[in-house]
Amino acid sequence: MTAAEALEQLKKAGLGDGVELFAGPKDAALLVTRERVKQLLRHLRDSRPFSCDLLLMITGTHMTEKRAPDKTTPDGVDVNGGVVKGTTVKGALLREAGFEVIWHLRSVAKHHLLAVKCRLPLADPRVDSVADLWPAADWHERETWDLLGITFTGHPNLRRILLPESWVGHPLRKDYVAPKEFEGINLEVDAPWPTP
Amino acid sequence: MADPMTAPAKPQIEPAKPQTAPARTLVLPGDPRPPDVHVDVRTQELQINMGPQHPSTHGVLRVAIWVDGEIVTRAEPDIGYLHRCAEKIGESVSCIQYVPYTDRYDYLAAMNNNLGYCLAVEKVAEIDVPEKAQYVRTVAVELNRIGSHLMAVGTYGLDLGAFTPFFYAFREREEILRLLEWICGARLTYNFIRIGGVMRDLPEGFAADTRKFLDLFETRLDEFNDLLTHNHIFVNRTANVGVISPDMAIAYGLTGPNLRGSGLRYDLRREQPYLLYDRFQFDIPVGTGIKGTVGDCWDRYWVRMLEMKESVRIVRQALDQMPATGEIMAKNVRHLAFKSKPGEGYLGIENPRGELGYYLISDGGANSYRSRIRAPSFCNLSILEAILPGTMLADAVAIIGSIDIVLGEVDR
Amino acid sequence: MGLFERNLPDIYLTRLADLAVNWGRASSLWPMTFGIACCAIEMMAVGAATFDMDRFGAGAFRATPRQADLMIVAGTVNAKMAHVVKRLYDQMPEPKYVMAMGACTVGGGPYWKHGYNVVKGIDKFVPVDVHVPGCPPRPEAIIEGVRFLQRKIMAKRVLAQGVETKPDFTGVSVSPGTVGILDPTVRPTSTVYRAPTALGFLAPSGGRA
Repeated sequence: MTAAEALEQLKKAGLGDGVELFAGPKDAALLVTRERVKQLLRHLRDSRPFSCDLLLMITGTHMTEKRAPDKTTPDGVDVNGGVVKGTTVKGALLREAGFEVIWHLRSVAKHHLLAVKCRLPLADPRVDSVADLWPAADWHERETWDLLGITFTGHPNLRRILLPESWVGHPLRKDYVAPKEFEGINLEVDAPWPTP
Repeated sequence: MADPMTAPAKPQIEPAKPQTAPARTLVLPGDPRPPDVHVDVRTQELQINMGPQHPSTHGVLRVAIWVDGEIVTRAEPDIGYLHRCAEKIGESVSCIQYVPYTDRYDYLAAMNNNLGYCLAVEKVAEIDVPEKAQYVRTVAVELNRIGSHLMAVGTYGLDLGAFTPFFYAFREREEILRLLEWICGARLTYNFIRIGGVMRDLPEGFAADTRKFLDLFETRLDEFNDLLTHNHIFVNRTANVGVISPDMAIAYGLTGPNLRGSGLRYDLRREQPYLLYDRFQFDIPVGTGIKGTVGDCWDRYWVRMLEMKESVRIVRQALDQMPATGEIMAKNVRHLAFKSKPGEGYLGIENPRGELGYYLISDGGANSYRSRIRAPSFCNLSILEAILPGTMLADAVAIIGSIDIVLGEVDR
Repeated sequence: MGLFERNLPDIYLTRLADLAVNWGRASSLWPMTFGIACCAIEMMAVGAATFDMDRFGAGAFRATPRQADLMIVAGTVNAKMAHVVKRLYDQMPEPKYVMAMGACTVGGGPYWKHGYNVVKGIDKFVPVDVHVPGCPPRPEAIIEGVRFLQRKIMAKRVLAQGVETKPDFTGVSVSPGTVGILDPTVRPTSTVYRAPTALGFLAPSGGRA
């Protein structure tokens, strides 16, 4: 089942509002507003035509703002992930700043893969947790919080999983600066390596 | 008396209250109530720490275990002792440069990791791989799968106190490493599968040597079965221990031999054939509960043993079908100035430990904008919190070993 | 050696005693089972039948630091792990030796630039006796690292006063590290290492049997 077919099914079931198709190059996904995320994922898990019972992963991306450069560019990506052919307007907004969270679901019985995507504002990255729908979501959400700083409301135990508890910052944000020292352990490189 | 193995988990032990009546350990004739044995032996909850330096956690896993007597009441895995910034590096170096890094995440199945990443990049960048290269990839990947499973079963014996099978497993594994070293020059971290093809063609005489090894290996698998699989002590330690039901396995996102050990016939090589797996005849072994219950530790172990036989079959067929000559690298890949097309995609392959997926976002540059690894061990390990409570402390080692984790991949 | 440690006159007799003590220490190094990452697999391979580190007296892997005197740090050490490594080192009894195995422990390895979490070289917090480079080092390289360490131990002063002499590394060849056999016509075979004779360390020309 492709994302387009899934959207049709959802519209038939009366759940289509707030859901649109993210038809970027390559993999398509269902783009959903953050208020509807949990309801949609629960539907995808429970309803028979989807039966997406296996949660593959949850992850996020920090999207920086991207504007068209001054001169003519080759194909760029627009706000919705589509390809802009040829010339773009000088300084046009190609991509908004913010966070994207994506859920990949697989159906073991029906052999299909669906992706659900949600955009979050940079200032307030917060989305509903699905740890009560899938126990597997627990660690994925913790990891996304740890590395990207996206808050999953309703998660029972949202704390760092890979980095130490007292670590500062979220490394996968694009503006992250690596620390020089952590609790007395020096993390710097001794001497610069010779550059060829 | 209730079997301690099936006793329900007690999440929290309440402080002992003063008893008003003495504990009944004797049953008077005519009294239908069973004796109150729990009052007789009063225990206190104790927290013990397993790892990160522990010989049977397969790396630097730390599990905080709360025990009541010998029964585990709560277990909390603590990971991150091998966090090596995989995803940040994936954004910081170019796609071509990132291939050697993928070796180091699941270091027991480095070929499979190379393959997963290369397939994902090829999907996003739209690169077609020549047929000969796909056969070479299949041979390398399946040999690597045998090596990885040998390591899993060999060290599983070691965890349970059987030292000899470890040496037998390593004897075969060294032979596989020698074959892989022959094709790429490295024993463990290969960087053999490149974006667009493979590093080089199989050397002269490789096919003949591999066939000779496979013939020998099949007889040695039987030897291994005599040593460990049907060993009475081993069966007693693993059968009916750590049972994972299919529903639970899916809820926790288990894949690979752990999911198939629970009786579900699910293998991405069959469901979503990548490479040329639709051209080969092979079976997908599942756990059937021969020695105990479906989904116990022994079943997961047995699925790995059977999978090695299937891999042998696949390697034989791939060597038979492989064209003698042909391109091994796609034409349209510019390795020095590699640029991916903009787009994003997820691609999952069947790693020896489960579904290894790479989710890549490219915005048209040399580097990925985002590269996320769906590591099978990470998902498989999360079930530990659910299945350890209620088991004996000594079985914790058997359960962790049967899940077969690689910490490099869990922590990435 | 307690009270007498490097406190006795530098005479033939104390030097001879040193030699005996060092020979005992060098010939039975007990490494600690402490695998962190990829290098741990090669460390296991060294312990297994094909390479068999027991031939060099360093095959008794112990699971606890209290019984070990060689810590092989096999794999990347990050900020969370560094405290554990330090504690394990502190728990080992004297005399203790540390082998930094693999590029990550030597200087950060592939993670030296973008690894925000990785300690670039374990010599930042524990003293290292031998560095074995490679990613991961071949089992032969580990064996060679052990033999380097044995030479180093043989040159130590235990009872006698005086300046330590430089270790004698003659007879230990420098292996090509991780450079594998890149000639596709040659099928790799494992290198056969012959064990040194019992008093191999004493011979001035090295331990070639």
